[in-house]
Formats: sequence, C-alpha cells, structure tokens
Amino acid sequence: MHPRDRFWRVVLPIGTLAVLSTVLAVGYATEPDRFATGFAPKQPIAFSHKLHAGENHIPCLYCHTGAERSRHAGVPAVETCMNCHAVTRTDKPDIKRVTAAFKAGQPLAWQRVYTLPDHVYFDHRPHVGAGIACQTCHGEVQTMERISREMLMRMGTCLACHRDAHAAVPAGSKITTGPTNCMACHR
Amino acid sequence: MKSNRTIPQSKLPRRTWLGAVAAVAAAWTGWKAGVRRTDAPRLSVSTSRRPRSSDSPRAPLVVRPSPDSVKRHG
Amino acid sequence: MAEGKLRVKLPVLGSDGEDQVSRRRFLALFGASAALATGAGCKPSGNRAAIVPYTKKQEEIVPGIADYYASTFQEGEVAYPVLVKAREGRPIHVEGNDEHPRYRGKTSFHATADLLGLYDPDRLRAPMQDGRLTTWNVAIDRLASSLRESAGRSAVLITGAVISPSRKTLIARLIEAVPGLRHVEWEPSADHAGRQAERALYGESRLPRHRFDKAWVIVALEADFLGTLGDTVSAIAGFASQRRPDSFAGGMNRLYVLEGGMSLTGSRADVRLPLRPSALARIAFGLVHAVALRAGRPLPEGMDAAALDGFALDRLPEAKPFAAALDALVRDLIAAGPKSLVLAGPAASTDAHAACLILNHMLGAEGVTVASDESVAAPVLATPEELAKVLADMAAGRVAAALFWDVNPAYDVPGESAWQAALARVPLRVRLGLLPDETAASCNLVLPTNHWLESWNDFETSRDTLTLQQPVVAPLYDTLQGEDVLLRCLAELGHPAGKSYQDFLKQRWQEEVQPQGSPIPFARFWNTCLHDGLLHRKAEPAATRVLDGTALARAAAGAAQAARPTLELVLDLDPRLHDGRYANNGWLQEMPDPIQRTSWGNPLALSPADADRLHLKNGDLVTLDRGPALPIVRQRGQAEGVVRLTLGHGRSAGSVAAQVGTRAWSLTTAAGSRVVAVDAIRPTGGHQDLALAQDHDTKDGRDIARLWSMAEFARKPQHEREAEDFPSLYDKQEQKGPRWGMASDLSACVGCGACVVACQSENNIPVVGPEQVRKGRAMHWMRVDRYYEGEGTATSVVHEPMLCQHCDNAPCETVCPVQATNHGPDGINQMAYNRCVGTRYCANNCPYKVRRFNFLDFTGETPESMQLAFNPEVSVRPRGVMEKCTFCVQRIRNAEQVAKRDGRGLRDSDVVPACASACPASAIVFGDISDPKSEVSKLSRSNRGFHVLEELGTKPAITYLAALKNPSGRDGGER
Repeated sequence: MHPRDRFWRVVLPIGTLAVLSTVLAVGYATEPDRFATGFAPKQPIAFSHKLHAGENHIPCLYCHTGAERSRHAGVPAVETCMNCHAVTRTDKPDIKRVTAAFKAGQPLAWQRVYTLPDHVYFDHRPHVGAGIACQTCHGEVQTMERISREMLMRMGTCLACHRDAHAAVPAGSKITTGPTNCMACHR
Repeated sequence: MKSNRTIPQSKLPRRTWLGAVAAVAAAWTGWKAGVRRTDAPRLSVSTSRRPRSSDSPRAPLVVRPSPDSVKRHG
Repeated sequence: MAEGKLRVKLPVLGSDGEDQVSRRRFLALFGASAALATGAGCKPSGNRAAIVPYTKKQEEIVPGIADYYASTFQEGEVAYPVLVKAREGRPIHVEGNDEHPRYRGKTSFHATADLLGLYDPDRLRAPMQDGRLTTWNVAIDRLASSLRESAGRSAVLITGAVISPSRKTLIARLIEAVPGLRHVEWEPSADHAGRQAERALYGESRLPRHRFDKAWVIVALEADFLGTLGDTVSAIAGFASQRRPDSFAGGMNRLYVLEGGMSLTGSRADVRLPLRPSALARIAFGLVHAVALRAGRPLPEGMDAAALDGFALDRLPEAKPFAAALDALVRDLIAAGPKSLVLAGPAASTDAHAACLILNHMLGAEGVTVASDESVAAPVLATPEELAKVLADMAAGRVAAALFWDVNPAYDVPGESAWQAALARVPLRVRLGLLPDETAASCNLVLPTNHWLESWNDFETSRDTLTLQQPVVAPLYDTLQGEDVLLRCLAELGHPAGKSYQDFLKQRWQEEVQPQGSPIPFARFWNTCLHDGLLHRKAEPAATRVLDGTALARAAAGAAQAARPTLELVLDLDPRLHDGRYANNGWLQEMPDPIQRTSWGNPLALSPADADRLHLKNGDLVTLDRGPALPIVRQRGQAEGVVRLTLGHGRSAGSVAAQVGTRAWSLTTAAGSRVVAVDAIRPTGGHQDLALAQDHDTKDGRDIARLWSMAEFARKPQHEREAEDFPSLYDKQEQKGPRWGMASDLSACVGCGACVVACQSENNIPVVGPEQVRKGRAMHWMRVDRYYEGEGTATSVVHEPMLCQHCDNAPCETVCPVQATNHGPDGINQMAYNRCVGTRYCANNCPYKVRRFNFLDFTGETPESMQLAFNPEVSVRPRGVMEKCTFCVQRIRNAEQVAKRDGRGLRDSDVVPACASACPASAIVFGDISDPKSEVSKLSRSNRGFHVLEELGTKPAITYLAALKNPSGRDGGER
C-alpha cells in the first residue's frame, strides 16, 4: 500500500479512535463521583434521623418545611432543634454543642448529601404535591443513623421517573409522567 | 559499510512520538471535560450577627432583612 | 576509522547510548503521569457547598420564595412608588407598586437600575475623618460641636430637593437648634427657567403635575417629557394610552415637538419642527398671538394685546419654514381647547415658559391636563446664582461648617476652580452620602449614609397620596441614614427629637398624618400603610392659580429681544445617567441612548448638514470654542446650527464612572443655562470610536418596523396578513398546555428602554464594557432598535423592542450540533447552557440576531457585593455559552407551581415577564397565543399586527403592532 493510502485508511481512523477513546475513558474516570450512591459525609452534629424520624416519628415536614412551599426543602434552623432540646437530653455533648451554637448565633454548616449541579433547578413543590413520598428519592431516611445518598444523582434517574412515574406516585394517582423538556428543570 | 546516516537518529520512530503527544493531549482533554464547568455562583445566606465595628472597611458582608419592615406578600 | 571524524554528537534525545530513552521507560513515564492526572481528579465525592440554615429562624423568610416590600424611590422632585422583590433577605429586583393609582405598577428604570447602587463595591462603609477611619461617636461629636460653635458664623446645609415632609420637619428642628444654619436645596436637574416663569406669573411654584391621558394635543418646546423631564413614568403611561386607536376606543392624540436636537419625545412626535432653542420664545409668543386672535380667547388680565403685536407668525423669520405646520398646530390647539397641553423644558428660556403658561391658561387646560389642582407647593430650590453666592460666602471665610447631604456640587456646579478655592476656607466640610465622590474628596468628615433600600422616609408629591419608604434590607455596612445623623446631632445639641428616624417618622405619622379620632390603633394603621406603601387621603383641591398679566408683557418684551447666536449648544440631561448621579452604574452606562444608540459616553450630536460641511463622520473629535475634545455623532433630524451634548458623564470618581465621557457641566454658563452660544466647531483631526449598539439606522426597504400614517391605518382591511403557510421542511411543533407569545405595540412604545434594564436585572445579564460593546458583544437579551425614515425636517423614528422571537420554525434549533437549543411544548425556544459547546452556529443562523454569546468570562470577576444582586432563579452563564431571552421562564415555572398550589389551572395573566412588567407604556403584552380569548391573542389579531421578517417563514411567537403617526386629520384636535 502506498504510504499515503496507509495513512488515510489505517493510521488516521485508528488514531482518531484511539484519541477519542482516551478522551472518553480519562474523562469518565476523572469525573468527580458526586453523583454516586452511598455518599455519607460526616456532619457537624451527629444527628440521627433514625432516632428522630424513626423512633420519635417526627414528620419530615416538621423540620424540612420548605418542601411543600418552595423549591428548596431546606434544613431546619438551629432554633427548631431548640424547640425540644432546650429541655430534652441537655446532658448530651452534642446537644450542648447545638445549644452553644444557638446561644452564640453560630451557624451549623451541614454537609450536603443530595447535591445537584447549579444548572439544575429542582423544585420540590410538584413532587411533594404529586404525593411522592420523601423516601422515594431520599431512601428510608428513618432507618439511617447518618444520611447517605440513596439516589444516583444523574439526569437519567430523573428522566426514568419522569417518563414513567407509576412507581413513585401513590396508588390511584392520575399522574403518569413528568415534564421531559429541557426548560422544565434547566434555565 | 554502514549506511549514510551521519545524524544519529532516535531509536523511537517519529510516529511513536506523535502518538505519545496525541495520547497526552487526549488524556488532558478528557480530564478537563470530566470536570464540570458550570460553576454559577449560588449564594447562601450568612446568618451571623454583623458587628457594628468601624475598625475595618472590609468587614464581612452580611445580609439581614430589616426587622421592622412590613412585607406585601411572599 | 574515517567515519569517526564525521560522527557529530548532536544534542538529540537518544543520540547516544546513555541518554537513550527506551520504549519501556517512555511508556512507564507516560503511565505515571496519566495516573497522577487521574488521581488528581478523584476528589472525595464532590460536594461544593454546605447548607447553612439560619440560627434563629427568620419568620418572614422561606428560602426559595421571594418577599415583596413596598417602598419609594426618590429622584429629585419625583417620588416613584416601587415594589422591591427580596430573596433570602436581600433585594434583587425593583418594580412598580401596583397599589398606587397614578403609576399602577410602573416605575422608572432608574429605580430598577439603582439596585446596583445598594451593592456598589465603591460604597463608603465606615465614617472617615481626615482620611482615616473613625467611629460614629467621634464623628457625631465633631459635627455637633462644630455646629454649636458655628453660631455667629454661619453653617450651611446643602441637600437635594426635599419632598419629604418628615425630613423637612427634621431639618426645621435643626435650624431651630443651630441659629444661623442656612439650608440650601440644590437640584442640578431642575428646570430653573420654568420655575422662574411660574413664580413671575403666578407668584408661587407648584410641583409640576400633568394628565397626559387627557391631552389630545400636546405641544412640547424642548420638553423631553417622555425621556428626562420630571415624572416620565406617568407621562409615558398617559401619552401611550392615547396612541392606540384600536385597542382603546377614543382616538389618537397628536404630539407637536419643537426642538433643536432629537430627544426621545421628539422621536415620537407626529409633527416635529427642528428649531433653534433661541427661536422658541418668539414662536411661543407667536402661538399666543395666533390663539388670541383666531380663537378670540381673552388675554389674561393686565396684559394688553399690543404687547403681542410683533409676534404674528407670518412675520417671524424663524416661523417661515414651518408656516403650514404652525398654522395646523394653532388650529389643533383651538379645537382641543382644555384638552391641550403646552410644555416647555429646561432648555427653553424663561420667556418661552411664560408663553406656554399663558397658552395653557387661555386654552382652559388648567385643572384638566395641567393638574395644578392636585399639586403641592414645590420646594424652594437654589438657582445656580444663589449657589454661587453661597460659594462666594465660603470663599470669603464666612462659613464655619458646610454639610453636603446627597448632593455632589463638586461635579455639577460649573466653575470647578472656584469651588475648590471656596471649600478650602471652610474649616469643617462634611459629606453625607453613599460614594467617595468628587465632593467627598474635598471633605474632611465623610459620613456614609444608607441607600434608599436601607432607609425610612415619607414623600408628598401630590395632595391625595403620601408614599412611604421602608428598608428592604438592614444596612449592609456601618452606615446611618442621613436623618439619623441629624437626630444624633440634635441630641448632642440639647434638642433631642427622637431616638431614631424610624421613631421620628412614626411619631409624626401618628400625630399629624393619621386622621384625628380614627378608631384604628396606630400600629395597625402604620402596618397597613407600610404594607401598601402609601396612604390615600381625601384632599381639598388646591386653590386655582391666578395669572398676573403684567408679568406677561415683560416676558413678551424679553422674547422679542432674545439673541440669535450663530451656533447653539443644548445641554440636556442624559436619559440614563440623569444629572450624573447614576454614572457609577454599569447597567445604565451600558444601556444605549435610545436615539443615538451609543453607550459609555456622551458624543456631541451634530446635524448631518453641519457634519458634512466639516467632513466629519461618527467618532471624529471636535472642540467647541475652548474645552475638551468631543467625539461627534451625526443626528438625523437635528436642526442646523444646533449641537447637543448630554449631562451626567465625565465623572472623575467611581470605578465604573471615572473618565467615561465628557463633563458637560463645565460647558454651562455660571447661570447654569442649558443653552450656550458657541462660536465655532473645530475638528481636531482625531478620532474615537463610539461604543455603538446599533450602527445601521435604516430599514433598507424591509418591512421590519412598520410605521403607518392614520390614513394607511384606515385603509387596511381587518387583519390582512401575508401568507402564513410557507412551504417548509420543518415538522409542525407539538404543543402541550399554553403556547407562550407576546404582542408588542410599536405605537405605544416610546423607546425609553425600561424593558432593557428590567431584563438585565431579572436575568443576571452581565455588563461587558465599552471595548466589547464596540465589537458588538453587548449582552442585552432585549434591545430597542431605532429606525429612521426620511431626512431633515421629515425624519420619522420608530422604536422596536427586539428579543428572541421564539420561532416555531426556529433557524437556530436545527443547527445546534449538541441540541443545546430546542423547542419546548409550551412554544419557548429552550436553551440548555450546560450542553452548549460554543459553536455559535445558532447565533449565525438567527435572522433577528438576538442570540448573545459569552465571548469572555463576563461574570467571573463580579465583586462580592454585586453578586448579591443576582437572581438566584436564573443561571449565571460562564464563558463559552450562548444565551438569549427565555420569556422569563423562571417566572413561568413559578407561576405554574403557584397555580397548582392554589388548585387551579394556569391563567396567562399569572405570568408577567420582566419587560412587560416594566414597560410604562404597557406596550408589551404576554400570554397564551393558543387561547383565542387571551389579551395577547386579541392584540395579535389586530389589523396593525405583523411579524418581523415574516417572509423568512420562521413563524415567530411575537406579533408587533404597527406604529401610527398622526400628523394631520381628524384625530388630535378635531375630535
């Protein structure tokens, strides 16, 4: 084969394929694994959902008040903890730390578990409004000592449910799908 | 008799070098692409009390709502 | 061997055995570096931010939900009621207060833009004394003791116009406590000629108030009431309401504009007469003469007809070229009678103003279009001569302390050198203000004040409504409200008047404002007023004004003798920067002038004839007699012999403002006159490229911005449209739910640009600076194009807001290689910033050129305080990403959820994009175009409706309604 022929028919296609696969492979391998399940960061206070939501049966919306009203479910203010912990378990070291933070006006920086990228504008309202249980996406929170991520934070997870919602919505719901157009979630 | 080569050549052919450069470039591109680029700043609200000290014009910027204002709706 | 000599050792890698890199070693090295790269990429599973909730739950705030506060924005003698949107405790957007009967939800775009004033990184953050930081206690001590000692020698307090009754009361208390304290109200933008005329004729001066919606014929003499003169918002709303003969039954008004340059008002004129300002007084009296003669209207008492003898229009040389038009003008005025309105602006002489007042009086407009019955007394403003006297006192050492509160005389008083010399002789010079500006540079005590978004106040600009100002955010820095500084001084001077201005205000409202004997407890009354932002009062109409006829004779005599200079320089307020107070505002600097379409500076406008004579093109530098070199811009329709320059530029302080444009205040006379005689224009040979947002001025025969005469409008059959169904390769778009669209009425649009600023505020649109604007990279999603038709005296202008048309057959959607842009089921052309790789093919394909590309990282270096102004519901785009109008999709999404929460379907009136909300003329209507009963559908079916570039078959979602011109005929006067 003429060298120029060989270049165009062999070297270039194989070379392009090699370059492309290297790009994709390294790109995939170096992608921060912020989307994977199982991520369970250490929190400033070792708050146990198992105790509060599980054993004490405190409803989710008691603390995460924004879920019905706003895009963000939110995390309770320290004052919400003091609603009970002004008097309960005041001898525990963690409670003492919470009380100290409240008195000093020090904020508690909770480590995000369910982090979406900035270009995703998730809105809790239609999901809670559709009757989807918190556990559907956040897992069985009431059994978790420390919150771990139970949902793969990739668009495919959202799309799977938006294409066919019957597993997430309560029985008898008229909702079968969610929006799948870009600007429903991305602006 | 040896060949006419007077300039000693590298033991590796040129295409190996080019291939290596291409591979490094590809790896770098892949790494860059793997790091998400939309870093729009979203702000969280700081909650600490703002000290009314005047000793520093660069005091941290804290935003608090006005306590006595009456809102229309929200 | 012989070869050994020829073996040259060259420093090539692997040239000899020792340096050789073996293949094995090379691969090992490569593998290691790749592994390192991979390893660096593996961070512990990424979370970039923590969630930091409140320590004490703020009852008012639900994170993610906006709170709205009613407040007021003061600009000079106008108080605009506003509704401020706050997120998580910080203001992010300013719109109008819908509770106010006169403004109905509209406000000045200066209010919207001044959000940046709150977050300006240049803001003073702590009190300073002699250039060093100090505490408030020390500062107040020094101020109070100086005031105390100044009894004997005078102290001077210079403020802007005071239209707040509470602030007025407080200042009165201070004057009581400090004998010899002089209070001077300096408002550089004021129309001193107009006030002088008013006082001469009526013996008093009231805050101007007009009812443009009742005016069928409007005559404006250098009066830019749509752009810069006083309360432009209600003027635009009133004027525009009479420009839509099909939408609002009632016919159309007629606007005559007599001016030298082309102002915004001039661009909307039905009949525009380019005249020198020096000629206006004579022509105005000519109109008085004609109206008196032809209509038989009696002249005011004390004036005899003989004084008008020299003013017959056919004998005035200035009027000759416009004889027919002036004749029609007179006929229209007479036919309209009380429904006419004659206005003059600051560039018209006192005598011209007097003539306008007489005309309004003779035609019976007082109390009809001139709402003097609703007006309150105007504050007594210092004229430039009076201010010069104060400066002279300072220079003579007669002033012990000078307080400058919210005024910047170092910038806006002509004669800079006199100013510096004067101040040097004042021992204590105090600046109460927001920014370290030109005046603060000369002051030894600099006290930072609160921004209006952090302040309490009340305002009274009419008899029937009081508006309130309340803080939307607690002060960001160590600042105090100016009134609180005065209160603290009063306390130290032994005349305590209250702990804080908030208390002072509440107390005054409890004692003087709340109706006596009201059964409502004050707390509820107060909270309700704050909630609404205003208080309606039943007020007696003001006493009818009585015209002093003898003053008119003097005015007529003055008009007859007015000079006729060779060249006249007209100095107008800049519609964006006003008198210079907003020069440090990036949004307003980048907003193009509505007529010249230049930004970041103030070129000198020349008529094309004058420019041709001197062989000048846009950007060439000239000087006027003496003074700095100015770039010129050719202005169609400008009168020959008139050059025009806007005020407000050429600041020397401010990271955005400094050195942008020319300080036109240095070209006024000592009397502050807005028209200056010029001997010659001299080209310097230099050139400076203008930062033009639009460099092509004409439509080139394309039907892209329709301007019809009334006759054409009458001839058009109902909804004649060009063929809508072009053969097309596009699939028909699927629709689910509403199909969003817009109707933009070019007849109502005045070109003010409020939509541009509102869009910028709502959608986090960056400011790119003059260099990038010159390259055509301004990022405005919404722009207002300006097209000329005709030339010289026959120049017509049409303004067209241009934004993404959300085409059904969008040329941009099909060419994106990564499908970052596509069509949504609601008709919106969607844009996914994250997918965009920056090919820019979509922008290339867009025939409307509404797609903006982030060529550089425009947002990356936003200062920390300015980041607070971002709307958290909209992405902040990085470099390399395409963006464009989204029909405020964030508002649509929110409205959908609110409707769901309320258990109802989405109504199209639930969604108001920022541009539609801000437009004072209500020219933009948004809604569901697939619903035939919606407002936008009805407007789209109008026979004035057309699509821009319809022949390309893009099927845009926006219908424009043709602009109408009404130069003659039935409507206007003869209704």
